Amino acid sequence: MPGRMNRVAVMQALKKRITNEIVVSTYSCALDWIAQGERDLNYFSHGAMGLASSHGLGLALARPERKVVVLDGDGSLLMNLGTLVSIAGQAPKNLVLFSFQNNAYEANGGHPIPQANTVDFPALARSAGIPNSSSIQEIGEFERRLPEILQAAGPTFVNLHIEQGPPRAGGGYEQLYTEARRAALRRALA
Amino acid sequence: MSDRPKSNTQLIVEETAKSGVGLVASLPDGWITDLIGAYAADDRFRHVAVNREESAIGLCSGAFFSGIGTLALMGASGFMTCIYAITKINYTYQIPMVIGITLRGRPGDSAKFHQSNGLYLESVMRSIDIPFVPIERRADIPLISTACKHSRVMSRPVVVGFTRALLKGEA
Repeated sequence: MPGRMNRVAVMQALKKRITNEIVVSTYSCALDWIAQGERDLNYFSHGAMGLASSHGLGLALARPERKVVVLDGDGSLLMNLGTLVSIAGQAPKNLVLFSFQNNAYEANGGHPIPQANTVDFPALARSAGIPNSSSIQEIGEFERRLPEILQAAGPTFVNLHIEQGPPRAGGGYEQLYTEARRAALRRALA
Repeated sequence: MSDRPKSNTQLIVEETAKSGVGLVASLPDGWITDLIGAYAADDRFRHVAVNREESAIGLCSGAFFSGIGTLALMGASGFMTCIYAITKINYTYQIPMVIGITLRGRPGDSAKFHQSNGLYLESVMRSIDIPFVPIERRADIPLISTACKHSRVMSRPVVVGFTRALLKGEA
């Protein structure tokens, strides 16, 4: 059984390295990312499960001069696994896809994902055609590797082994939908 | 033997078994966490956790041809992603099944991202002429068998929709 990182600790480490990248996040990742502070270049794809990576690919293709970082969940990735082939086919150099593998549908009651603890996401990504695919289990390794991950020519896929968090009763997702946030992103990308 | 009254979840599971369902394919929604767990723990059912809702429709359709009664269980949002599979496969090839969904987005559901279901779910169901049986209170639970029977009679899927209050044992 691989080691597991705390998702908040991962977000804190990410926050220290993120500068002008577009960050696409969804579900629990979105809430833990937004808790790190406001920034205009946040794109929340919450609400249509599975599509964060597709949103990220679209952004990456449309804005090749900007790095796009997607924070996806394992259940969400499973719902749109073909996205790995689409990303490989387009091969955007500016796309980094992080999969947060906590082996559960955390936002939907905590049920295990199919093949929890067994599915090998980096292997799936490699076989889809993304050779730059790896996994990280330990926060120190994440902190060490992050600068290189963000700098490297993509597409890059990194599976992060994460502890399952507590159920989010009531969600709190409504904070992701503010018009001000959408307007700020549009302005930042204008 | 306990004389405690059965929970709504237990009653739904009992009614499902009585209706001849032997396979349940599910993808979680927070409201049906307990229900999925109850099906998974019950030897009368083969429970399959799928990774997208359309897979549940396909899986249940395949199982039907082997003679097994099926239930595809999912959230309202997931059901909305299944329209293509239902109309293209189940309607064309006359494949019955019960589709259990959460009635998300009704007044009282505070989740912003489910309000689209409140606005469009029932009108989408009407637009594809899929029979819809709301299960809003304990007394409605026997309608699961009615829905299952109706599905077989008309050789099409039938939707049963569970309210939050029912699933939480409040109705």
